[in-house]
Amino acid sequence: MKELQNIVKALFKEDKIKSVLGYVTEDYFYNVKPVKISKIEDSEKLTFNPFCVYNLVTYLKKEKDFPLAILVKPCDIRALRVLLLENQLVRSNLFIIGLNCKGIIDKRKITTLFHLEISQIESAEILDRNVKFKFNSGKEILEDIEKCISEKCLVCKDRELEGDCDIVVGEKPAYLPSSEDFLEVKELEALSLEERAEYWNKAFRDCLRCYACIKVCPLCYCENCFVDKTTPQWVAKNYEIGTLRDFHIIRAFHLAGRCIDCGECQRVCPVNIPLRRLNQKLRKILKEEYNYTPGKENEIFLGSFSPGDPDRFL
Amino acid sequence: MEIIVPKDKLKDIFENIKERFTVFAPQKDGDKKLLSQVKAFKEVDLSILKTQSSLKELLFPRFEILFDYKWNKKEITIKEDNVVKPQVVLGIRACDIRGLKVLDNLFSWENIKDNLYLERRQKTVLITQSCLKPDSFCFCQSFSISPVGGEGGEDINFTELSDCYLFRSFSYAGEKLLKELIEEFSFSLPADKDKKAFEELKEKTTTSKIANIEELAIKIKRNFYHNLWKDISWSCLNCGICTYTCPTCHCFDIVDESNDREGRRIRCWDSCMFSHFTAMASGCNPRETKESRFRQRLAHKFSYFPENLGIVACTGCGRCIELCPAGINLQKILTKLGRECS
Repeated sequence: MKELQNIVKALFKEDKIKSVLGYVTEDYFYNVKPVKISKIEDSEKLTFNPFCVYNLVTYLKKEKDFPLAILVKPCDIRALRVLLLENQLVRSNLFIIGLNCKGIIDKRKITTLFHLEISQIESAEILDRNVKFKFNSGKEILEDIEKCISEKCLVCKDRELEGDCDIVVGEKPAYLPSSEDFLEVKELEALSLEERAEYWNKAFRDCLRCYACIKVCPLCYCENCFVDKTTPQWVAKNYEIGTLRDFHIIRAFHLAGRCIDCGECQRVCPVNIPLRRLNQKLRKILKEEYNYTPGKENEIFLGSFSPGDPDRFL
Repeated sequence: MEIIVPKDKLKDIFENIKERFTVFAPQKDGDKKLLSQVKAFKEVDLSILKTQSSLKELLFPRFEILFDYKWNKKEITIKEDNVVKPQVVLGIRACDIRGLKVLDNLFSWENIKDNLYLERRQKTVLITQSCLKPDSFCFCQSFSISPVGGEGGEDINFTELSDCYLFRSFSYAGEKLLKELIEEFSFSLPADKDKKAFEELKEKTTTSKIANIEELAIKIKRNFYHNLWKDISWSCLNCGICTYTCPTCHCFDIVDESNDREGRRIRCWDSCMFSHFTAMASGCNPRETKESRFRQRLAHKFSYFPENLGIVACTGCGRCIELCPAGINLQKILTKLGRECS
């Protein structure tokens, strides 16, 4: 932590940045908040722990106050790469501080583990295959990593930061997950058409249309989103299942060839719609048909062409 | 009226009610905590403290059809088809009941009656459950709500005591229902020890409390241009989670969905967090920045609403804190506003 704070302080001192996007903890250890810090003395508050789930790249969408420093995890850097490729940001405006990451704790998962006790967590540390939780009472609990960390972290094998960051802090994770890619998608693909329709209808039925999935997505940057367009209207205003399905499929499609699997859409959904699965399906097609992984390549997927591209769907 | 119900008799009460009403109750569906229709007692999950969506959804649904219409060159025919069935909502909490009080005031403000809402309200029997273990997001006591319930608004409240449930009625409909249950199952009246146990629980159950909430009404107005609005709203993503899960937020949009021959007019939820909420056809938008929309939401809840309708439009349920995707904590913000504004 000290290392991170010192880097930021030095940047402020040398007048290299106007502000920094980072994380701070409020009262409870698990209550992490994204912040924009513009004063050197506030950099003492900066922190990084396994509860720092927010993808700060989202906050660059509306940012005008450059140059600034931003803290990025390996999943976040992929979003940043896509934004730079799509000319949404100017690299020289950013000082990128990479954070080596061992995985991020899924609050929903540990709420089912600890219930109300969650507010008494004093610290959490990821040790290879386990997470060590320390409680106020002095109690220590060792939990299996799969029970605690986010779905996306269980398949996050590429945690390379060096090439794109100006500086990298923290130690590299010793253990990387070995889970198979696209497992959830494969499970769904094995179902019949009717079963799949039932699965998604049930998931979409509770959608509140709060649009948090759109607002939190670092790659949704349209000035005028399709859900807001009225002339002509893209999506009806009602909450009938067909409308909700249209809305979610269009949202996912707009990220085809771009979604970098930061999992933020699924995390923020107030009614637990497994949104990540829709995007994973698109990523799976991309991987299998074109061997393209968004956020890793140097070319925009939809902006590139090769005579060898498969066209079986045409 | 108060009665004692043995723990194993709760199922019988449910079956009895289910015969006459459509019953809604908290239930788990995978990792979702829903407030939806239940057909069997085993679907009811009374251990759920707060459902993701609040009680308002049952009385003021996400979208409803106001009327259907058809036209040809000669005439227009309008068809209104709103049948409201009597319903019972079981196992909800005191904060959601306060939310309905806010909506009641609004939907009958200055004698302009919203019949769709009021009819549903009239045909709904509310059976609340006492909160004995509020979580860290709860702060209903700031609004003088007792987590144990029974401040009025509900028809019946029940509290889990060590070996039984204490049922208390708070309205004519509630008393009638309890009397019918006594006749059917011959439940006893509470003994002194039960009353004492209840009082002890009531005393013991507390939530966080924010001091001097009522002072915010004037403070927010006085500090309309204060720097802190920008500061506290910085991380806000302007999604609609806080408004849509709030038990009191009530903004809606009315739209026509039609083709050249027929159509329908619907009412659906809308949120002041969206920039399009205030966008005008001229291209002007009086609340263009996120800071102004954020301020509007708080000012409406804690200043304009109490001024116009005499009740604070927040119930301290804590859903907006629990579900906020950007870690914004309303409790902290209210404390900060109280401290830093004069």
